[in-house]
Amino acid sequence: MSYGFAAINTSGQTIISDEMENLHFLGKATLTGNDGGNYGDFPGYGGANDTLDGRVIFTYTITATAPPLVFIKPSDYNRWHAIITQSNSGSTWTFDVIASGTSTSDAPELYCFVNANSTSGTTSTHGLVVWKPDGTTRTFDSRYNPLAISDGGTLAPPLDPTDGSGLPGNTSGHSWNYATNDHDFRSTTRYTSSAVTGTYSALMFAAPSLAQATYKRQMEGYKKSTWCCASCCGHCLCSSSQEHWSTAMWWVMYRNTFRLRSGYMDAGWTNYAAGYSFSSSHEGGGWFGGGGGSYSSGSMPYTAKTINLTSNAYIIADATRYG
Amino acid sequence: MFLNHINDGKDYLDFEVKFPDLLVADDWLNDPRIKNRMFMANKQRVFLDGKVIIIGGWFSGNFSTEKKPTYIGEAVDGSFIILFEKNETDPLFKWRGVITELPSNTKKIINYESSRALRLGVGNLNTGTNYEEYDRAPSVNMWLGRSWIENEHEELYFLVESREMLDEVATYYGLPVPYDDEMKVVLDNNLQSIRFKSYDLNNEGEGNFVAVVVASITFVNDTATTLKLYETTRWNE
Repeated sequence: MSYGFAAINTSGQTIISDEMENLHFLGKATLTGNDGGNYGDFPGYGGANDTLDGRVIFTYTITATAPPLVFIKPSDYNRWHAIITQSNSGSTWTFDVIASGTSTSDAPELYCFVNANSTSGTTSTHGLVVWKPDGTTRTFDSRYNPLAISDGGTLAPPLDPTDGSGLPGNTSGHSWNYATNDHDFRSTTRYTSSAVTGTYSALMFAAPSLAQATYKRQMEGYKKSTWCCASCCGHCLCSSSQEHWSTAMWWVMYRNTFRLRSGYMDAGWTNYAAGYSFSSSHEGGGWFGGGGGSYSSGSMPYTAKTINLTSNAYIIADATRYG
Repeated sequence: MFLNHINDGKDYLDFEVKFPDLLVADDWLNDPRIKNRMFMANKQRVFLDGKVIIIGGWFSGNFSTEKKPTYIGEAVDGSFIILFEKNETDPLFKWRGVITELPSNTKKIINYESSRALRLGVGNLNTGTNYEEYDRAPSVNMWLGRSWIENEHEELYFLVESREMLDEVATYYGLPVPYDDEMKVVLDNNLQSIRFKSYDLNNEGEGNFVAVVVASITFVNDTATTLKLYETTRWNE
């Protein structure tokens, strides 16, 4: 480059140039609602190990002429967060943010950043503006609060999202209608960490939630009632039987979520959906004597596994720099 | 009165021989895979005011793996028969009854649902209701379910834990006890022998199942009108 503009730091890294587009603060997305919170426990189930972490889906919108980079600034730093969907209709961008717990209070704030040329509206006449060689496209505009990244790295959550020992699975040999969950599906201890600096209560993060997981605990029950259907001289000449079957199954789907706490950035899990199904049947039917039925509060989205498990890049910034 | 005479194991086994008319009348009994193999494994009697008003049972094709059990019942006074068919709207009670009134052949449907307490006890399901909005006798500890015939009546079923409990329920509603002298002896000395089923209601595992003996209160326009006792016996017991 024989002409132009470049600002280079003491490490030789380009901070501003007339070719590289910097991100600038567009504004905070508007909270438009939430889904009321759900899955603090297994729907329809009332036995042991019923408790889940729960989650709320908060929805936000913002107007942007270019795809925004979105940071989550928690209002409650004990909660886990992640953006789980992002879509646009024209210049209206919509984000769904998952937060652990079922409280609809303390919604996080979303700080949105776009490239310099997509910012508009300022009347300030002072500052530094850098254009591309075309003379019309801004790469940097100090009037819109450029993004300053304070930390970053990569993180992946652990493969097993459940607090219970090992991954849950199927077992048979239970008594008929046995339906007591023995696996802890919460995720409070399931995370990996990376050190960060700064006053955490001022920090915000941007990280993609790519990993998902679905796991289930299934118990098969059985009982066989046998009786003599004909006898003679004290001996059973033939026997008959009535078989009983039952299946109890608990499943949870998780999304990768993140948490900022003092000194650390954590990658963990939050349950997105859950279900319980129970079926009981036996030979015969009617009048309290037989048949049986089934119940299900939903079905697993896919077979039990963790998918998209990879190290995610995350970046952290100080939210107090932005309005 | 096809079922009135089924009193012992032999009659259970000889059912098809004794009642060929019923064999002709119902297709399920003409199934070649089970014909000549039918027997009645469970028998049920419904008591009201000290009398048996309905007799029914579970018929099973025996001596074969191709079992095709069916429940059927009839009123002792010949006013109706009832057949049960699959209906999968309830987590536990997967059937409904089709009542055929005689001699008009008018058909009515009786629907069944399990209670929240029974669902919790059987499958740790916390759905359903325990019918708190009904006038429930306080001596009952567990309401099992409800049946209803549209625009006619509702019936709340409860767990009978003793003969004294039945007496208290009768007193509460001002209704006669359902059992006769013979059944009173059974209720006092061998209550579990008339269970309809055993369930692990207390989550204590096999061997500790609760013998579920059933009685019911019928409500017509929110007024309790009858107290019934459901007796289930196994022909081998």
